Amino acid sequence: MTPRDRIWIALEKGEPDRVPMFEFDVQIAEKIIGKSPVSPEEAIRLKEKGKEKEVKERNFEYKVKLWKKLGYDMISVPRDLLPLAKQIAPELAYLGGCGHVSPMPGSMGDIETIRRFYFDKVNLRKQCREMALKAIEGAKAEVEAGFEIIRGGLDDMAGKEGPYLAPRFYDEFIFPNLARLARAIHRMGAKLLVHSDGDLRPILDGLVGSGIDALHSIDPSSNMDILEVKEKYGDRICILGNVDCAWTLTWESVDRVIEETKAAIARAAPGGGYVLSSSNVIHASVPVENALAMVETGHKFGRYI
Amino acid sequence: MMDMDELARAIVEFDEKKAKALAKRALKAPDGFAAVVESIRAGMEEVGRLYENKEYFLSDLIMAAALAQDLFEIAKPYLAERARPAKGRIVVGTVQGSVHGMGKSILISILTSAGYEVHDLGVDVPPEKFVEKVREVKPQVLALSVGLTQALPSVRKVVEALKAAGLRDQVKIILGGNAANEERAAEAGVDAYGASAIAGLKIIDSWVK
Repeated sequence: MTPRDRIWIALEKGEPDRVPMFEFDVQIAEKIIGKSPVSPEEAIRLKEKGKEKEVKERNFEYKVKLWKKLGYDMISVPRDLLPLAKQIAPELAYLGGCGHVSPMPGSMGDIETIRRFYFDKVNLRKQCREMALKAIEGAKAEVEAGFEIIRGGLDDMAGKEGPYLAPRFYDEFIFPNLARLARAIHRMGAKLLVHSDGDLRPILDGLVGSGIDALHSIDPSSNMDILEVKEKYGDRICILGNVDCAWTLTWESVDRVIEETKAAIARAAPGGGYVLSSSNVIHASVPVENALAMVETGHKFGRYI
Repeated sequence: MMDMDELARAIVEFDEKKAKALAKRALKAPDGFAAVVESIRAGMEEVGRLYENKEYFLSDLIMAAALAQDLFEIAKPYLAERARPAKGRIVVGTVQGSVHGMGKSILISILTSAGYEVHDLGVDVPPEKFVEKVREVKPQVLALSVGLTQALPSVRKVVEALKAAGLRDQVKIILGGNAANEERAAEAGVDAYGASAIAGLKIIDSWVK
């Protein structure tokens, strides 16, 4: 079974040969496969010579090498590098991207954006509609280029204390447009993946109800219980994530990482529709032995019988 | 809902225009400043209660806090000498390595509404800055925020720096933020963990009587 098939079956809520694995990013590549072929200094030099494309391609080849070494099944690919991806890693599933359907206050305290949901409803409604149409156009371009899986519509929409916005605003402004995007992507024959950290529980009904295909990251540091999500929504969406990169992967022992990875698999994989992943990315502070322990556990304990 | 005056209710209902008009009108009375501050306190208390009951959400808390801040700005010029003194002094900041500021902003608004004098050091603050400020304003409470687990060692560094400066026993420390929890707060050597701005206020109130 190819990695692409493995991911696709999981997106269809089925059981492939093993639990597929994925990361948006791995920021400790050098510790795993050795030096990057393009140092930051060389990248600047090459860019100055107009060789930006060469830098991008060499960096992407390096990323593919890492993905193959770790056995990840899906990789994020910029559209202009899709032909290269198909050439050097034809077996992988490719993740494209499209825009968002609404402005969203980030965790940096964007009070002006929040204010608009309370006091600028007419303009906001119009803006969300326009953003959704633009996101649909973006998704269409990605699918036409050859992507089958699109990340977009929304990004981080919650923090540890819950959704950034009151749920009524998601229902009023955001989810109808997310549903519009999901329908359009489905008509194109593709799937929509949404990522958000944080405690999504108060808005999960609406989020899943909007017709998305997959949800990343089921953030355990924000009280997201993967078993609960699986039991309640596992027949409607594919679930990705849940291995805690904020704490366990960063600060705990290899044994603890193995234990948490096994627990995520045991709780979310039965019946299919689960992709093993960290709760955000393998960031620069994750010890290499922890990152590798998670991957090895996935390979060892993720087999479907 | 508790018994509230019109201004407090306007805050709870995010009625910006009405709240500002009512505050301006109230401030014309001889003891207007105290009355407005009391209404803000009552309004924010109710918002906090609704938030704890999960009837209100983070954005509701932020909007109410922002409105309370605006009302304080309107009221400031009317501050009379006999207006009540601040309940206590609090130094607030996000520790080095952490640039997240939303939780801190909410806390500041809520503490100000509750009558505290707040000194905000901003985000990504080195330990020595906390020490400097604690020495300067002699706060009863130091409120630290940490948004990233990678920045957790910075919390311990602030505690150690205060100890080294001989100031640790003179200030209570509370820790909040996305990367904090009860266990991590204890490990870092602070006095309490505030799970939310409202929970933090309750703890601080219990310290500053």
